[in-house]
Amino acid sequence: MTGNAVEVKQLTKSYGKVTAVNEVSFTLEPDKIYGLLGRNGAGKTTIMHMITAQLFATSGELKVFGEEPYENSRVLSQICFIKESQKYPDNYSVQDVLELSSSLFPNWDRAFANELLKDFQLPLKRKMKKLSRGMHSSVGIIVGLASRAPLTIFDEPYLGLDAVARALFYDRLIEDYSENPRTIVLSTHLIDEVSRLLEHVIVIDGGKVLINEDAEELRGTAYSVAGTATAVESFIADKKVISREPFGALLTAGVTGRLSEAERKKADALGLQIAAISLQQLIVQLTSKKTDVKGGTRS
Amino acid sequence: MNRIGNVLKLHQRDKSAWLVIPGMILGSSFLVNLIVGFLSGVEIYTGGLMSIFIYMLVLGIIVLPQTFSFAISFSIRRTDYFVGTALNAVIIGFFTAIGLLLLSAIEKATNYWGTGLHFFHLPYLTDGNLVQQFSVYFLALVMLFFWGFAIGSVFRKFRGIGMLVLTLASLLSTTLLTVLIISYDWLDNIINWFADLTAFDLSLWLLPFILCYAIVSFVLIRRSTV
Repeated sequence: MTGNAVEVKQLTKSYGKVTAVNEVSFTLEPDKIYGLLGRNGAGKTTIMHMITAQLFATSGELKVFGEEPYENSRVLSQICFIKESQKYPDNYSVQDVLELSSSLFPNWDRAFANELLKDFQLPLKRKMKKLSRGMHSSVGIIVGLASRAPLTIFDEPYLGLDAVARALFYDRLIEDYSENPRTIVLSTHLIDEVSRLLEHVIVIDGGKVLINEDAEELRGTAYSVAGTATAVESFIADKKVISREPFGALLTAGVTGRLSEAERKKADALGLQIAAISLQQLIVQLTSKKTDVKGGTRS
Repeated sequence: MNRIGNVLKLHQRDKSAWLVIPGMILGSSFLVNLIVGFLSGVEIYTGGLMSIFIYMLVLGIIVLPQTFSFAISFSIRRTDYFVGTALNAVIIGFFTAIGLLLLSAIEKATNYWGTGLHFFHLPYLTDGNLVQQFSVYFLALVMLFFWGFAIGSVFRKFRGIGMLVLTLASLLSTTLLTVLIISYDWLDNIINWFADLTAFDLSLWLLPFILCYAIVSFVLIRRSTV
């Protein structure tokens, strides 16, 4: 496939005086798994709604598979957007949802859907509104996976799902993705759980893109230093500090940047412990408001 | 393309809303009337048939909250949603009208169910020929659906505020109209005008209403968000 799956330029959505999404620009390349991460209310869902033409942008440019998505059946038929709060008609059963999906999504794989149905142990005949929260989420996951849409978006798809079912989702996703590559966007709070799946991470904070980075790169861009406060302070003096957690005379600091061999030796000499920061910790520290600390100069 | 076919499928999978519930409403209304007619032994002219028409209005109102956000989330275009939903209502209206004609014929043939119950075969409504009778039922059903659909789409687009404005505007214009009618003594003319019309003539007057409601809902649905 040529061209990008999604191109977003200066995309803005405001509600009166509130700007939910503020001049966001990014591109999604085809056949990659993206993580769209950020806190509640950061604007992730709004962005995804605009990409799928369910909400209208206030300004900015938006191209999905090279075209405007609004009322564009060529584009829309290639998108499957599964969201946490999806509503279904009151009288719909699980079977109704799956049957309709099979006609709506051109790449629908019935055999795969049936397999997933068994995996998630869903009762076919039961009404959607009588399903438990977790089962309700499973239906969305089955639709999202079996639709094999070239752009598949999961927005917090697993509310109420237990750890076993979530693991099942990740396994099926990665298995099917390796056989049928497509662009997948995962938006979630459970960053650690999905971090092994993600190839690229976009972090949204306060309606803006905070990080847009290859996941591998990102994992290597931060580490934590722990030791006595004075030793840590001297070590981080010239570095970009993203967090500080004092504990008595001790201090743990999160630092962005790569650790050179010389720095590693220096840390050893100072008796400091260096540890990797997980993607989740990194994002938590970058997006929590109180850690707006630069260069270790806070007194 | 079968995009509109998909929307028809979306609605037709919901058999409760489109077939079972209206059938039950009309059926129970008929049954109650039949029992009363049977027990009382007097000839009854009833408006129980109205229930199916009222239901079409209700269906028009609830179809959007029930299915719009689902359809849009499942990659259906707004235009296809509108055309498919409208077409589905027209199809349902068509078959309901045929069904009502049949029941009306049965009612007449069975000498009003043997009890003198006039439920489906009513004077005035059944005055014209078959095509005219069909037109009365069909257009009334379709008009009521689109009326509800237009109300639903105002709510979809403008939410509570929209409904409030719409309600106030309707009340105000009705009041104004009433005042005009009374102060200019139009009432007699209006009654005479209506009295001269057959049910079929009246049903044709529903066409512009259907068109207006359809345009309003189409325009609003195109601009509605999830």
